[in-house]
Amino acid sequence: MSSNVSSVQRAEVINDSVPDDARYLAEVWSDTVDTRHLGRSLLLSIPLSAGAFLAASTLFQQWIEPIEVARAYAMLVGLLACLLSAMICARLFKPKRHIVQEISQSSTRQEAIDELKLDVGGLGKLSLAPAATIEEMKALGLYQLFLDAEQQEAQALDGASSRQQIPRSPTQPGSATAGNYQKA
Amino acid sequence: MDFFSSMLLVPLVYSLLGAVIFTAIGLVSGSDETATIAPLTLLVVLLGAPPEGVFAFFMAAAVAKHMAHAIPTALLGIPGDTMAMPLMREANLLRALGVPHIAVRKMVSGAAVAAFVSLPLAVLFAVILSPYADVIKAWSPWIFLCASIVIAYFSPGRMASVIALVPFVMVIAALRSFTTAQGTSVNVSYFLGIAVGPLIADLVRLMSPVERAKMRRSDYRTVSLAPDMQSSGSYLPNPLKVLDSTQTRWTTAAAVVSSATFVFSPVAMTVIMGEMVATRAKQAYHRLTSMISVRNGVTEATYIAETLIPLIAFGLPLSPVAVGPAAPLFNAPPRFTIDTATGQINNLHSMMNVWEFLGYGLLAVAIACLIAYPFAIRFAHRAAKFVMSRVCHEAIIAGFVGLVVVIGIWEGGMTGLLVTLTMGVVGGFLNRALGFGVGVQCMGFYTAVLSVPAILASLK
Repeated sequence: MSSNVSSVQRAEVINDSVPDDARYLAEVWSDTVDTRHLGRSLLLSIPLSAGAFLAASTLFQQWIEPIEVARAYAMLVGLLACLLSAMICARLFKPKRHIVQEISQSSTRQEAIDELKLDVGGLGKLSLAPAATIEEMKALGLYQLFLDAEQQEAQALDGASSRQQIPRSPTQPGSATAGNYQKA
Repeated sequence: MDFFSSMLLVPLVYSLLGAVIFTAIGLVSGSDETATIAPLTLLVVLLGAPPEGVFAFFMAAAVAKHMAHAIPTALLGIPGDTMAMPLMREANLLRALGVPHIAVRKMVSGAAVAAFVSLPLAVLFAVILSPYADVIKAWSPWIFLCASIVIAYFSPGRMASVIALVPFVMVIAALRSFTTAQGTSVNVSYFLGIAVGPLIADLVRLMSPVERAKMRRSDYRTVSLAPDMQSSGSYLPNPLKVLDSTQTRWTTAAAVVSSATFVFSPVAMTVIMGEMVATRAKQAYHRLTSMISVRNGVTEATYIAETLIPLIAFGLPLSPVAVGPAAPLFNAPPRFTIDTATGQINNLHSMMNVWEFLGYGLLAVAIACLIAYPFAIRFAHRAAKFVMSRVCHEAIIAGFVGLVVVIGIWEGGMTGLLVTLTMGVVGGFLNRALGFGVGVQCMGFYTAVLSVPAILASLK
């Protein structure tokens, strides 16, 4: 597993489809859609789900007693129709995503270490970590990485000349993914 | 055999059903708990499942979902659901360190440990609190009012959310008198409208040329999938070996604390418990893995305790989870009802005893762990890749819109649909513009139903 560190290549593209018409792309509910496909999906799913529910409701009320149970079964049919319309849409339209398979982490590893240095506790000391954690880090090939970073930081702090500035990580993982909406 | 079939078979089957369905739904990033767990639990209630079946379904669903949500969170860097948001930073850092599989393992192990700890504890706390049930029921209109204001203040919108609560509650109160005048009783449509409000608001924005310009994208979204890492060792590691002894201790402690504080927002508890642990871990990697284990443990503990304590002790939905995802366990007319005028409660609270809650709860947690834990550990990479490359976002939106339409029509015909649309647009835009969160909005519903009549009565 530690062999990953030496690898140069960082990512491999899994699907490399390009938008046929970028004018219709929009971000809805935190992911990209083609507005034409979205419109057609809704035109399919709303009538299909509502129709399935109403038809089942009318039919079941003649067969099943009491009426609440008949309507509950109709709701089940309606929800299955939702699932069916989602499956049809998934077959009809391809995802609007470039999927990139990460291969090596040699550069992102350093970025992560740099970001951890800025935390309240900083990198801390490996000598204070439990033995089980040390074992785990060795098995993952992370022990040497943290040891080097720790020694580097100690040297930087020792040398009052402080040639070695702690670089600030350019990206803040996590901030890009949280949507505009909050739930608290 | 007779004992088995009468006592165990029903909850076993419903647990399995809940666990399998919600392990699959957990893979879909952004599948909000209230929008998924609430309607399917409602369906199970209305189809006439026995009380223990309803309860087992809900518990297994909630526990499985918060295990499976580790997959998109750790491997794609996209929050699996609302409760996964506080875990994003740790998940992304572990991914950057090249150990996404460790993030998944720590998350699901923390979840398993916390679920087994918090379930008996929640039952215990409920038993301790139940002597005060009558007092709490008598004061519930005022408790809901105060809780709504506090939760609003601690939502991202702070004071703005407190102010927004007033018109929001008025809209619900007005809608309720309108639907009553129409002769229909509508409940779930409010919550569904609130839960998918952000989606409804986005769809409406898309129709406005002004807003559409802001939503345009010039290219597909780039999603990077973490590499497939299968570490050596046992096929299915023991959760207690995945976590080291300090992590197990911290996860247990966090589960205890977050079970006791069942009235607080689960997202807030997840954040706070993670920070508490962060100050205790003295090494960066240990801190990261401890935080992610503890935080995901808290997502389970809050859901279990916030459902069980109010359900067993009061029968009233007195917590953020109970008013949202767990709402159908409390109120699902015509089968489960809370009569606000007489205080008559007819739901799982009155149908099951403490030992049944404990036994069937543990059974559901065990089944959820048996399904979701191995799946998350062995198939995370394949599952994440399949969802990202095969399921387009249009299909997910179509599914959710269909769901809202079916439930709306089922509950109140045209009136139900109008309620859902109104709640979705009003709630969704207040959320986007002010940070008036979904949790506050659910509390707003109960403020309108319970507190507003009490306020009006006291003014006379």
